[in-house]
Amino acid sequence: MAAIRARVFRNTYRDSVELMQIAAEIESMDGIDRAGLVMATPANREVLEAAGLLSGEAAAAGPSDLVVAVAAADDEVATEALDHAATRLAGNGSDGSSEATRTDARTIAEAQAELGTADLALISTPGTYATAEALKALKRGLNVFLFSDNVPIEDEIELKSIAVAKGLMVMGPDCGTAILDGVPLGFANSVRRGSIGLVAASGTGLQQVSCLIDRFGAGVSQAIGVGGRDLDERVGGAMMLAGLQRLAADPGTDLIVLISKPPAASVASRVLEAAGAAGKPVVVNFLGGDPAAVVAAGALPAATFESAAAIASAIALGQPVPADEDLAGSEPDDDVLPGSSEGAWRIRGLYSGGSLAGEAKLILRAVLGPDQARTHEILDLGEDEYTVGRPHPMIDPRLRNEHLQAVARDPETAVILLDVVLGYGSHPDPAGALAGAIDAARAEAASQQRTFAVVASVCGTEGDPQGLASQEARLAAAGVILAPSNARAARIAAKIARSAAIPVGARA
Amino acid sequence: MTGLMTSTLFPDGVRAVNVGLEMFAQPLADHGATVVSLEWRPPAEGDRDLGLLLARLEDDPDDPIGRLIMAANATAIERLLAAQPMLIDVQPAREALGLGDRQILHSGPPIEWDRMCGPVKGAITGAILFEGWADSPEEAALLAETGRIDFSPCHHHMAVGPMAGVISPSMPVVVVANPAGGTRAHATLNEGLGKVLRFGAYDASVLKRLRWFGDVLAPALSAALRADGPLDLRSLTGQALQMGDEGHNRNIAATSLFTRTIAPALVRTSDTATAAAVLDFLRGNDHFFLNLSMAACKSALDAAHGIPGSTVVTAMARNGVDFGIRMSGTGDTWFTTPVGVPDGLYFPGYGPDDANPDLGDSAITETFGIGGFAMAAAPAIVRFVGGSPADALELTRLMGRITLAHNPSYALPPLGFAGTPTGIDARRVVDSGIAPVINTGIAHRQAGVGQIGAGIARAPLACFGSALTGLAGTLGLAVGREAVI
Amino acid sequence: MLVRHASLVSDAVQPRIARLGPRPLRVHSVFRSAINVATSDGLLTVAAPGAGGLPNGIAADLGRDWRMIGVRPGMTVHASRTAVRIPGARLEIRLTAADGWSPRIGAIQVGAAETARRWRRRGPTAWTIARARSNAGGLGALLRQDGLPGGQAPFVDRARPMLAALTAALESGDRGSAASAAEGLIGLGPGLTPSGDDALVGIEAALHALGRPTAGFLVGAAHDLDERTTAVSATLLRHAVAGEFAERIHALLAALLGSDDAAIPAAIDRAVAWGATSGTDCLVGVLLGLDVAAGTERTAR
Repeated sequence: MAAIRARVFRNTYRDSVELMQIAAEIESMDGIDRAGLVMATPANREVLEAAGLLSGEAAAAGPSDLVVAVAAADDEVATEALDHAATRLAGNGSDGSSEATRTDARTIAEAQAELGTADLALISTPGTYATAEALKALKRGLNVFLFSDNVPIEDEIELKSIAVAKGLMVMGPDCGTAILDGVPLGFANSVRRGSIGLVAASGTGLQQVSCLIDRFGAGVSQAIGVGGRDLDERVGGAMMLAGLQRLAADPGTDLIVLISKPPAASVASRVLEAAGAAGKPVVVNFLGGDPAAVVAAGALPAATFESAAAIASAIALGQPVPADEDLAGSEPDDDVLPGSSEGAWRIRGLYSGGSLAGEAKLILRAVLGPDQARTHEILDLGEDEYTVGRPHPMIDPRLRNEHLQAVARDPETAVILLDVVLGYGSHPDPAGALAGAIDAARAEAASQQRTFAVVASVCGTEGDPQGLASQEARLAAAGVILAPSNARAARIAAKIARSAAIPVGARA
Repeated sequence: MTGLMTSTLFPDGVRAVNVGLEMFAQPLADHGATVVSLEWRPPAEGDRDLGLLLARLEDDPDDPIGRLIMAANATAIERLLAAQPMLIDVQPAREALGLGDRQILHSGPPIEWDRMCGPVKGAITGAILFEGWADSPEEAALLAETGRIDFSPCHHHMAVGPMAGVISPSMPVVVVANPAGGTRAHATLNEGLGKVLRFGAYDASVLKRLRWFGDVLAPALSAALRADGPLDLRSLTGQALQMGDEGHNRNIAATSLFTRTIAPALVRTSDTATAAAVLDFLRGNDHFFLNLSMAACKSALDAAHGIPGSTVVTAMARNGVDFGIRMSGTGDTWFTTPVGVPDGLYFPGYGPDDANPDLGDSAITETFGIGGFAMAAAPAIVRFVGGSPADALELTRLMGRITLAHNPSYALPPLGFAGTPTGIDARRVVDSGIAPVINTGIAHRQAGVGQIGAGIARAPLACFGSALTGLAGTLGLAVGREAVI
Repeated sequence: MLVRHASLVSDAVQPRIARLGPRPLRVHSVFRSAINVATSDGLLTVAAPGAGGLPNGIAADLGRDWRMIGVRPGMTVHASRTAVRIPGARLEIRLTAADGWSPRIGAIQVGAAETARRWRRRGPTAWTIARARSNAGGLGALLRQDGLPGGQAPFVDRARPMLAALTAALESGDRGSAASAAEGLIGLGPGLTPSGDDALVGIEAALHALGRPTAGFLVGAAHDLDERTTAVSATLLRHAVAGEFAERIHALLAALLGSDDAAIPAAIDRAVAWGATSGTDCLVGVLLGLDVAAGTERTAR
């Protein structure tokens, strides 16, 4: 029993090649007598009707609708054909064209064959499988950007020693960001190209320095992340040394910035020795480390990310090189400071970037002294303890917004200190998401006759997908005190806290 | 001095492979880099240790093991591609293989009588009766049960057999020589469809045909081959692949070409009645060439076998209970796993419950890159095994992702005359999770009922992982788990 | 914000953007290498440079697969003299560095009679080449004798007498009859630009090129276009009425009417390769139009 069926796909636009392909597929199905795949223009509807292919639904369709009509041996075949069309039309990119099928490579070897040559593997698989993928990439001659975390340190040691032997780079594990030849990897910012080469064992540290370099008008040649454990005694700074060597040899890099927590002594001496021999100015930001060793090695110490960026930018731009500002820095202007409520005294830092949180802690200690600094609270919400089962706060603002709401309800809270990290991979509108939460928290506090200050810095550039200026404007509109760098934001917070009236007995 | 030079780490532009989160690829593409995102899934079906082992066995010119494997595989591929199987004669297995009294060969990896499946037991019963070692099926079974028959796999005797693959001393076998590789391989003569020994049938008609093979068919073919000289099976298969055969489940073109080639010599060297009977038989058996195809593949693969370090698979075979593979670098060790029932279409009246688990040495054709690997050549059989012509092209392309080479002698017109994918790399199988495809007939689980369907089987991945673990043992590589050998 | 610079902008686009004023527009549809923007005045198309100039178009390179860059139908679009921005996809296409390009096909001023004579001489050869090289889809079936592909036969059967009536009307210089014959072809046939529309565009292009008084006859048929054909096709028909055509139609006509006979086969090959059937459909129109315009005997069809 012949069956005539038609289905309408409303507002469906596919290019003609694709439509013809689908039509050909349907016509080749067993039991299909005729098939028509046309836009439901009046002229086409007439033809379908004359050919006996027009059923009720198709008769009511219009020129922006695609109608698929079949004459089939039976109902079942007709339905199957229409379902096939529906499946093909539903898939975005599953159009059977050569480009779409090119992406089905499952292994690095296959992808390498597809590309002809490849020089870089970005690996973000679960940590359990990351070592194997990185190993395969290295063996096939690819540099590795290893975003995955939870890679055992033994594996990291092995991977990096293979990389050193082959003259390749392993950026990571747990490497958040890099910019190679102007191409951003992972959570990177869109930074002006220039002559400053960066090597960093800190993801947000690298982002902060590169964004500030952009803000100061200079640019970055290469930004190489090496992973937080690279300067561990066991790994020995293998990739920081390799990166330093590459940048020293790179004719497009005029000076180099190294960024890390203070490494183990043996590693520090090896890195500083290599820095001294680089033949180019090297700015060293060992956050919280001793500047004397850096100076002794013939390099330029920088106490904060901002200071590193400022010194490097001045050198790159041929301007007078500023002295390194220590952690305490210069005191912020008084006129930016708001008053706070009675009984409010505490700084609550809610950070999405680990290195930025670390820098804030050091600055509070330098400004307020260790005893006072301990009474304040700086949380790194990117730590595993907060992110188990939840997306990282750089990607999804909800986690931080919950904390924000909670600390805003605490009458002791005088200042909420925040970082806002822009760039690829980050939330599309972090400032907007925060501003909403801040407005709500303020309204709630106001109803209890309380107020608190919010201080933030935005780590980003105008070229980032989110746009620096519009993100800053959004925060300013929510009454946030904005600082151009994290270091300055932390100092403002410290100053507000110091000037707040502190109730007796409230301190540990 | 600022900005005089543009810094470049990658002079040809960043060309990246993205493994994992898709979101990381877009910024690269936006900045002019070339990036391919893998359709990644955990390799080795999520077995971390095997996945890591796999990585350690990756090609690597700077690493002794990686270098050894690269070189070994290059040698294996060179030998596979150089193979030129020639059909030189048809002889009794006793002479060609040196099979002794009470010795019977079967398909697949080694197996004892007790564990054998119905069709194999039936075929062995038939062989014992055919040889005259027993007078009744019961007596034959008793001989087998009591250990008085010496069983071993065809593969251990330079031979292969379809389905039960049973070879006994008096059965004639084709003799295929591959002079380039210095190898020889053998297979029985194909009996056609219906009641046949390879499906476990052993009634009088089966035994009668076997006798006719020995008395008439084999001597006639042998005489013709001797008169006309060896027959080039590579070129014949190459032609057949362009005529709609894939060399495993469809052999009608190759059988026709074979018949056309041998007919003149046959007529010259045999009396009219014999020649007519032989040509009649060939006309009625579309699958005659299958056994020649299998022997040809075996002769090529054996040339690539036994190269230390090589991860090229040199045999895939089933005995109806176990699926086994052999890999070049692990020598004659079999890596086995229980075999399942193939996914397929059944003849009317039969279903999966009637099916015997997959059986036969015929997967040697896929191992050499034809059969299921050459599905693109044979759109006609795709429907028979439940697929579309597009699926056929896709299957061949897919198999190209687990092989190391394409065989230019076997060009596939639908794929722009690309060669068939050949040289299965066990590493690629485990890494991609793409299991080799095998075109197969489905036997009834009871001896003698015969073929009840056809379909596509996939080689079980576990064998390939075991083989790599075995190879690691030969290379002194520590593996984070018990070696499975 | 991802900033890309357009390489080419049709001269017809800027005045249209100016006419539309600052009102926000919407993304109409997104393809592998084109984005259509809906306006009250038809579609604006941003397409990959490989497509050549489009009468309603901006050429820019937005990557390998534009369906993957975050642009979705319905998104707000801001178009100005200097840029087209799609904030939802953080995409900005700057127009300031683009070359201008005129989609107009004007009548050949010098040597028109010679050109027409040349076409009468070489027309049959061009038809033969087209027959041999075109694909069988769409109106290509009219060129070939080897049977029609199953699903398309009814469309071709319907188009055949309409095209015959149309060419007869054009030959006799009857714009009114031509317009009514053209009515039935609008929106007829497969494809995002239905085959009938492509043929009509081709005929108009030929009439414009040879400066026939019938050029622009479509104006009489082009009412209610948005109800009768797809938005893409309606836009291109409106441009055709105004004598504005895609760059590839310019190239096809230049080859067919140029002095070098040897350029014809390659030009026909290139034409046939546009889209699925659009190129062949348009080619059929151009050939019919040239025959009509040059007064060729209608024997070869």
